[in-house]
Amino acid sequence: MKKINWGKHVVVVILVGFWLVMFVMNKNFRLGDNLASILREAATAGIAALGMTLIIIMGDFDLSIGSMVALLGIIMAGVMNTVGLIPSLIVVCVAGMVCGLVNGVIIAYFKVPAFITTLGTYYSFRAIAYILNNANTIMCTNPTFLKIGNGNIGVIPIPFVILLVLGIVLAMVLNRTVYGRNVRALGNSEKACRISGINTKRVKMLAFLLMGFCAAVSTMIITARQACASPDVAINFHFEAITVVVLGGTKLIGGEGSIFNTIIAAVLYASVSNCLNLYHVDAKWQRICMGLILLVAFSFDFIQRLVVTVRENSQKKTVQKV
Amino acid sequence: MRKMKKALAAVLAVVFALQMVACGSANEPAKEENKDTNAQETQTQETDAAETNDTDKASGESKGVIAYSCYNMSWEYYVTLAKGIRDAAEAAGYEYVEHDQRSDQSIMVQGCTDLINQNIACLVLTPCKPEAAANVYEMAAAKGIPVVLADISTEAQGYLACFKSDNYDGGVIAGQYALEVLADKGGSHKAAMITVDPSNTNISRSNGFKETIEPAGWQVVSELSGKSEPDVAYSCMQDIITANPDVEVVFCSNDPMAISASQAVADAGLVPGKDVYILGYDAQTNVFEPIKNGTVLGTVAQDPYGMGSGAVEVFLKNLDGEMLSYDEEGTKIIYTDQWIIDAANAAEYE
Repeated sequence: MKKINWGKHVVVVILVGFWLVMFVMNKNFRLGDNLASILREAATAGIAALGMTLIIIMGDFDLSIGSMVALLGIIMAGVMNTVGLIPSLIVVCVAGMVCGLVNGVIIAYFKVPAFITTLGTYYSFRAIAYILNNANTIMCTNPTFLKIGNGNIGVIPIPFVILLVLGIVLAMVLNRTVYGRNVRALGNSEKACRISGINTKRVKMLAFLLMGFCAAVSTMIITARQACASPDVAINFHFEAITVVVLGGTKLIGGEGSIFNTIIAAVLYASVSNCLNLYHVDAKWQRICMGLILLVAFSFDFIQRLVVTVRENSQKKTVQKV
Repeated sequence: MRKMKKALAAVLAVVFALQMVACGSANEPAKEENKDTNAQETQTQETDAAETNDTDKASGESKGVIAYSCYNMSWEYYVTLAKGIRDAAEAAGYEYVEHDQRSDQSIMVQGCTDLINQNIACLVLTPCKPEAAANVYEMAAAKGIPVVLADISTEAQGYLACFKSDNYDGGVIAGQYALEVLADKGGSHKAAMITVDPSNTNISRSNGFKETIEPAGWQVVSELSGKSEPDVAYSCMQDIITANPDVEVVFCSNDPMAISASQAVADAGLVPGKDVYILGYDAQTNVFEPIKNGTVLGTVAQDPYGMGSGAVEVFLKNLDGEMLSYDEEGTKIIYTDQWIIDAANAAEYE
């Protein structure tokens, strides 16, 4: 039996603790519908966060996923009535990978930093979404499609099942494949990777391609839940995804991270947001709370790095004295 | 192990602190509402009624919860609407809760889902994205919770009623007022409009205005889109004056654009309220000063408070099994009043 390193999975303990407290304190939290709603909400940001985990482990960022969702939604809804449900889902996955590829090529081959590239595509993708349908909203009325966002398998919401399946696949890619190892290595040191012969360009491109795919799956769920695609959807989506990844303990400097933690963090984020709604917290205070969570999540990383640096410095001094 | 325990304790402390904030600030909305809505009060009798009803609520007997999910609670218009709902709900013995969509449709869907899951008695909704509300109706119907729309209508069916202003009629009222006031001034009988394209609300208003004054012999020389931004409206007004220096009246489909337009007239060396007359819409707080000064001729006031209290009334009627009468049967719309506010009655409504 492998020994579980609880230090790396603090977020699990926090989630269990939070749920226990909420179960006791609020009768509405316990309702089956409410718990299902939390899982459903967790899946939306969670799926995008899966792809973002890979990107952050690699040491980069992707700020364009919200705009990707807007563009992909318009594309998918636009073709759904003409080509049918399944082909439109395939089209959106391909389109998502193309968007991810655009990011990947600019970052890997033109060597523009990821922050700048994805900031550019953050504006461009959404602009294209507005142009494509003249800023109008497209309704989606196919009942099978709507089930993707609103249906259940037994008691578990379908989006959450999709999250679990995708999570398992990506976890296997990250932990059991050479590619996954290369992603971590790239996050640790790009120079070392290049010297040891790893094709860093291909690793980066593939990571952004996977991110695009995850954005496409998120798009399906978001569009199904809202029964319409509009170009002004998901404006702060990248923020939610990055918050969830960091909340799960993945370090921003890269090199380390866990898909499992990201999934747990997604559920925690959705639970806190649900709790704020259950207590009818004023919108201004909700924003403050979510901002605080983001700060706390980011400061884990900072505090840990500070502790490591201080410890290293004190060890160096001891060695020098000797 | 020790490091992990410290980290765990710190994080749990923050999360529990957040919950204390959550519980504490759940009471804040009540206090904030009363402060904000004194600015725009169109029916002062209800304020007195509200004060006495707060004490009834405190006695703890509640028939259920009426929830209001709003487009954006930082807009004065919706604060007044919310007050209308709150006063009517509390007068009927219901608890009132609020949800702010912050102009984000994902927040609208999730917030309404959470409210419906709590088995509220009624949901009053001002959707920021009407098309995305279809799911909300279905979920509410599955739980037997009636939905009443306020201010914004949608195409999808599934709601009990929709309270809104007849925007076309508002434009007609503005047009008739302009004809009345300016008939004997001997001016050029030329008009212009600054609207917001592609907003259906604003276009209806402009159409109502145009189709009232044109049959009376006036000429609409220009129709521009101010994109609901004061800066853009300013340059639109400049363009209108340059092309038509003898334009007599300009109808702006909302107040911020009207105020900006009057500024543009003044900056062009003309006198707003004498050489060029400006009409606005919405009766926002900061248009009362210009109306009293004469730089803005008047504005079309809507009745958000009436929309709010009407919504609760319709819910109660439906509960009693009464038949509802709509102004538009197909879309279940009930229109609320609109009227002109000008220098003569500005003091009454401020």
